[in-house]
Amino acid sequence: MAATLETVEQVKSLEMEKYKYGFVTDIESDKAPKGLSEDTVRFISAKKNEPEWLLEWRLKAYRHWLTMPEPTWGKLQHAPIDYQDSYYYAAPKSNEDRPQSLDEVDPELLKTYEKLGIPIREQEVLAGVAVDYVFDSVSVATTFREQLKEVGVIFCSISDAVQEYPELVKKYMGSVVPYGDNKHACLNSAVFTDGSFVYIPKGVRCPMELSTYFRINELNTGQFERTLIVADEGSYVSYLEGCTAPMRDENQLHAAVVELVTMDDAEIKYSTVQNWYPGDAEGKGGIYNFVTKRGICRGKNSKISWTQVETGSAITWKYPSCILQGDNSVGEFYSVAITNGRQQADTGTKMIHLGKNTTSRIISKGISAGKSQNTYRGLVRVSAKAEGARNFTQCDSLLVGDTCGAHTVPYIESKNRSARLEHEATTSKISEDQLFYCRQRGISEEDAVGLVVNGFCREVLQELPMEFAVEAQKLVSISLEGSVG
Amino acid sequence: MLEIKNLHAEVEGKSILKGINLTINKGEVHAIMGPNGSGKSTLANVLAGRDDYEVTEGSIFFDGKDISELEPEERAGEGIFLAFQYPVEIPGVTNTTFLKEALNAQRKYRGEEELDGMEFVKMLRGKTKELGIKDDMLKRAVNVGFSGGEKKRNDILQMAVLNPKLAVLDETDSGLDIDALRIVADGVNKLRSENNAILVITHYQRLLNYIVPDQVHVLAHGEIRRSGGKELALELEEKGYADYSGEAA
Amino acid sequence: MMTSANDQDLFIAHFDQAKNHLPGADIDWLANLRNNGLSLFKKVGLPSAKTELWKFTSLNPLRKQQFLAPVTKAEKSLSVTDLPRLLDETKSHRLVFVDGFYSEELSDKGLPKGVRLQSFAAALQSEPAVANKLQQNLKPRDLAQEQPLVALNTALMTDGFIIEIAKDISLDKAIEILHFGSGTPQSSYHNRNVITVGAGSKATILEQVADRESHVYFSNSVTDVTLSENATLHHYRIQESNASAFHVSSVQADVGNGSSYDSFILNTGGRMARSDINVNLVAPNSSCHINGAYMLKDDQHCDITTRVDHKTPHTSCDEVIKGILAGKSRGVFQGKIIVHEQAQKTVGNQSHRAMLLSDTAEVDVKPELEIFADDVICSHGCTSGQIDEDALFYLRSRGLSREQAQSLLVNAFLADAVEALQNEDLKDLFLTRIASWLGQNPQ
Repeated sequence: MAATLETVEQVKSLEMEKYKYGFVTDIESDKAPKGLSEDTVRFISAKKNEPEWLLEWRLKAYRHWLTMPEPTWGKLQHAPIDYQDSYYYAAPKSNEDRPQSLDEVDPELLKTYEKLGIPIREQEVLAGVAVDYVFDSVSVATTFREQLKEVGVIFCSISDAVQEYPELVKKYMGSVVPYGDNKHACLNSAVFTDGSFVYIPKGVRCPMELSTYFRINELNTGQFERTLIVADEGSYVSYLEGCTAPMRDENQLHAAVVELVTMDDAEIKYSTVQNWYPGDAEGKGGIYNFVTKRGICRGKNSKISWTQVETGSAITWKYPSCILQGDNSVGEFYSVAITNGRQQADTGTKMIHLGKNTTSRIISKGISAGKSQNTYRGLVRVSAKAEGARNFTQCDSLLVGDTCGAHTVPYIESKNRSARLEHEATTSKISEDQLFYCRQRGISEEDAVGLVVNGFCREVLQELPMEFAVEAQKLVSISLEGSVG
Repeated sequence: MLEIKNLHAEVEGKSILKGINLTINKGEVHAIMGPNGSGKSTLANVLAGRDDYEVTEGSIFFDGKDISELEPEERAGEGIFLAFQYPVEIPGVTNTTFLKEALNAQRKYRGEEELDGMEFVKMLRGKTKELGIKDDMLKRAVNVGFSGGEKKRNDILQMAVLNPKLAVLDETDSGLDIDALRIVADGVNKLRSENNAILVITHYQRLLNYIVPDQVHVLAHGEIRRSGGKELALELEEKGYADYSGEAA
Repeated sequence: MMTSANDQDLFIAHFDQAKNHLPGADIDWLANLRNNGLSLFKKVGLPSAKTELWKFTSLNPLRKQQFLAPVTKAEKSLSVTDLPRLLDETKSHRLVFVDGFYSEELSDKGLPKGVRLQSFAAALQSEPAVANKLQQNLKPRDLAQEQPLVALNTALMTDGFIIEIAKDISLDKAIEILHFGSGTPQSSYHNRNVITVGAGSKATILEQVADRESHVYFSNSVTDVTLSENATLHHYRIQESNASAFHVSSVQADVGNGSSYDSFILNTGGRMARSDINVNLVAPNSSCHINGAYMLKDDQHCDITTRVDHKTPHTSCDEVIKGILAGKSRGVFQGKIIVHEQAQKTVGNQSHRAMLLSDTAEVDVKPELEIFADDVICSHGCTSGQIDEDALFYLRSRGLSREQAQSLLVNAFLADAVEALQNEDLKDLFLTRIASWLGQNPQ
């Protein structure tokens, strides 16, 4: 697969760049003390050599966080989180600490990589194996960076952006998700370690899909990731986050924040595949994924489209949302959430219609298997001034096996008579007749489940960029393995 | 090719088939006729290995191999194809995807090389052309929004692609008008050869005007009560099933 | 949770004033029940915006009132001719409650066969067997924070109706209950009603809430319904009180094997009207319909909150609610379908459709599916929007005035919910109500 080879090369080249800046050595010698305090926050900010305003912002967030209760609306159960039992700033592992070869990696993980068709060299990167990089293919990344530079697109880590584009960061960070939005977002605001920054200037159509996959540091700083994407007037960008391969990660708590801003006639398409470690069959381990994602269509005729395929994590708590402020702006949410084993997902979206003739569309497909619980939670709100607003929502749930749960909790609020809102939801089990039909044609039961479920999710999967879609389909099937028979 | 001996089967504890004996050789077309509730569809489902249809006695040999313990997909791999009375809709899965998955799964089962995308599409185009089926049908989701006739034609297309040794047509004529019936029958006849066999299960004689059987069997109360040539079907058409309404003595 | 002291003080004072006057004051189990209700209410207080089940319905307008304790019967004298009646005497047997208290003289005399009809107060004064039975039929609720008003009702149970239908009785007359407000300002009452339907029986119970003139009062009723095997209860309610009244009602129905609870609610009245309908499908082949329509104007607020628990296999529910909102009114629908783990083969469908006729009306909807069994078919659908302009234009192009055309379309929109009613008299009655509301409130 050409694309994946390319990825490995990107990954390598960027890793090398870090060495070039001597960044890694610095980090490697330091580690914040365990636990969370103002000192931790100051330490992180100092490490990143941040300006005063950002430190102040982090501290404000931290102090506010102390006063905030945990959100309780999710249909989720977990032991209380011990915030003092984590490291909030740890350097990426050195090569000595990493597995020395794939032989030392969990064979289950490798099996999944194999099924997804991920090449060996890339498997090594994903599994965190100490790779002896050969610095011979910087060219791809360079071409790629140059291409973006030519059209004026800024795509860098948020830490770099703070240094290089402080005005832009200051203007937009926290403008969509204020630090006090919810406890998890607040924590992120205080201790975020890295993430991506994208700025698309006026009238520019970003010449390629931007992907976190191209940046190795994502693999190590995912715990409190912060992403900010600003699309200026008339611009367009498609951004891909995550990858289909499950990633090893020792941090249980993840609290990311993503903010999107579109100006007049601009469009952001944000696609996510989330496949963090879900924990074992008994529900031990696994990532707690508490994500706050929100976009604001600030300009008229602008558009934000979220597509997500959520198959991983022990707990997923995530509601990518759109504030439709500009007249004629459009928000979309396409979601597939699959839970198996003991996974719990509480995910959905909020569409806040403020501007005139704003439109939103929600397509959610939830699949529950094993002993999992899967909840769609959504809000569609039309303010009094949102003349002519439209929403269409379709939430379908599929149950595989009789020990799981599927729940649908939509809130629909309309203050405008000219708004037209439609909401449909269905829940049913996977059909025995469909499975038998497939099997009679020679398809094994497990493959038949994969096929039927992929069909069920098609409306969402086809929203993904092509190369992602193919892998996502495989991922859907793999996620349901062991759920029948 | 198919040898059924003293087959007893039950569904949800209720005995439906009570000692069926039937032998079908290569190149033959057999018809099973019978009144409603006689066990016709049960026989089709038992042959295909559907869950909930339990064989309690007797045996089913296919090409000399006992298949009664095989999973449905394994029987499909052995070459048994069931054309459904009510073909199922599978939203979101295109016909092309479905057929490719099915064919390659069967080839894998038989230890044959799987077809790659190009080879498959080329073969598929050939089949649609042969059967006079429009290509846009391939892009549609399996049976979703198909009329009754289209669903049956789709089954015939699947049969052509999968090229089974034994095709079991379970009341494939139900709900079809005369034109659709003729098209389906034409399709079946095109696939008829000296290497495969066909078992037509039907309530009415009319399908047999188009797919002419070598032998006709009357199934009633879970048993084959009478066997004969194609003229038996005409007799049933005329007299109905009244003679077979009672329980066996 | 946060409650202000004032919230509870008024009603706690009511309890102190009323406790010696309330029916059954000398019965120990009842006193215990009331005390439990009170302490729970004290703990939780009136629902606030943070109470999930009350997030769309604010009780702030209610908080501002100074209601009187439910101690004395109305002073104003009434005669039967002052009272509205839904069905005439050949078609219904009627009980009348005035300001929350049973009025023997205004109620129909005699009793249909196989039916025990009593007021709550009278039942408590009957022989111990009747009172004890009543004790069993007062359903324990999950009185956690979501239902503090049920707790308040339990503390202050004022009066109410007790309907007990023996087995294998098919009532040819409907039982009609009129809850009438006589015009006593700031009155408040907490009716506790019990309906039990014996095996194989069929009954229609028709409740009407109405009043004589505009005045502020507060009614907080709780109804406990039990259907035995193969029983059918049609429970239809019309709430058409004056636009200053506050109504909160909570119905809890347990539906037995093969039985069906068929509920319809037509709501046009009240400043604030909240109706909770909770149905437990506790045995196989039980089913329920929860249908209704509301028509609101000015600053009226109507909230219909339903919850259906499918607890065993082979149960079904069907809900259709329609709403029309004019003026600054606000409509709320919350509907929850819960399919418990063992409840395979459940069918549950729910729909809420709202039409907004003004720029200042608001509708808030929260349909909810909570499903723990896999062999189910459940759905919900919600729409909200305005009148179909294309249809409007079509009708006008055929010669109808704008008003006529609108009235026709709104009528058709609502009629859909009424069509499911099996009783032709009631269907006509409801359709008439809809038509007359539209007549009085041309859009």
